[in-house]
Amino acid sequence: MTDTFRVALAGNPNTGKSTIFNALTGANQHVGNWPGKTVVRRSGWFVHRDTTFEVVDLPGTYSLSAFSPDEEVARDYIVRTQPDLVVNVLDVTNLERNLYLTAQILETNAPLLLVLNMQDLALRRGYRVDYEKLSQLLGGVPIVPAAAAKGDGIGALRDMLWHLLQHVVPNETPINSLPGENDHVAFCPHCRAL
Amino acid sequence: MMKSHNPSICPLTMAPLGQDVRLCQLCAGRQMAHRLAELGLTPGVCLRVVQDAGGPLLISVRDSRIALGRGIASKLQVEWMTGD
Repeated sequence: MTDTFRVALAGNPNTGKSTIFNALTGANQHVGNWPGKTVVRRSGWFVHRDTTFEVVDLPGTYSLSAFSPDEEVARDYIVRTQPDLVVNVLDVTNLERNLYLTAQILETNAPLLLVLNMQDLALRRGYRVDYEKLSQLLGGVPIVPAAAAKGDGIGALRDMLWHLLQHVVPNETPINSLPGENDHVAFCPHCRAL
Repeated sequence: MMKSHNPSICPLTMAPLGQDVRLCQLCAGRQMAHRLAELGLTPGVCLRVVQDAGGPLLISVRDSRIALGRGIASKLQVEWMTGD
C-alpha cells in the first residue's frame, strides 16, 4: 500500500525553492493558479521508497504576515490547509533574515524540516554553520544542508522526507549533518540509517 | 586641527554612500513599519547604502542586500558620527 504525503516548500524569495521543487518532481509537475487568485500554483509529486509525496511550491514570503496575494497564499497554505510537512528552504548566506519566517512557522507547530540551501556559496565565503547547535536552538528541528543548483543534498532530502514521515513528530528529532566540503549527508540518530 | 565627532541625522536618501549608519526612526505607518521590520529594518540596526543612482537605493542590512524605493527610503531617519 502506498501512502501519500503532502509537503509544502516555503521560504524567502530567491532561496532555491523552485530549484528544489524541480529537482524533486522532475517532469511530474502541474502549473495552475491558486483558486480565486492570479498567483501561480506549482504542484507536483515524486515517489520514494513506495511512498508518494505531493509537493507544493509556495510563493516566496518573508513572514506569515501577508502584504500581497502571493504571501497570503503561502500563509494560508501553511496555517489553514496544513500540509503533512513544511519544508522551509533557507539561504544559508542570509540566515538572520531567513530565520524570521522559520520562527513564525515554528510557532504554528507545523511539522517542519529545514533545508539550508546555497552551501556552495557559503563555503566560498568561508561561512560555517553549526547544524547541531542551530537545530538545538530551534527546538530540535531537523536540518538538511544543500546546494540545490548543483544537485547536492537532493538525495539526502528525499531520504529525510521519507524518514520524517515514518517517525513521530519531526520537531522532536535532532538531526546532525556531517561537516565537510562535499558531504551533504543528513542522518537520523534514532535509526542510524542513511 | 581638532577632529570633532558630531552626530548627523538625515533621511537615508541623503546619507553618504557607503557610510555605516544607524536607523534611529521610521517615519511610517504601522503596516509599513511592520513590513520594513520583517526585512530587518528595526530601530537601532546598522545599515549602509551600497548603490544610489537617483532612483531606488540598494542597501546592506544585517547579512543581506535589499532594494528600497526612494519614497520608502526617505522615511528612514538614520544617524552617524561625522568624523568616522
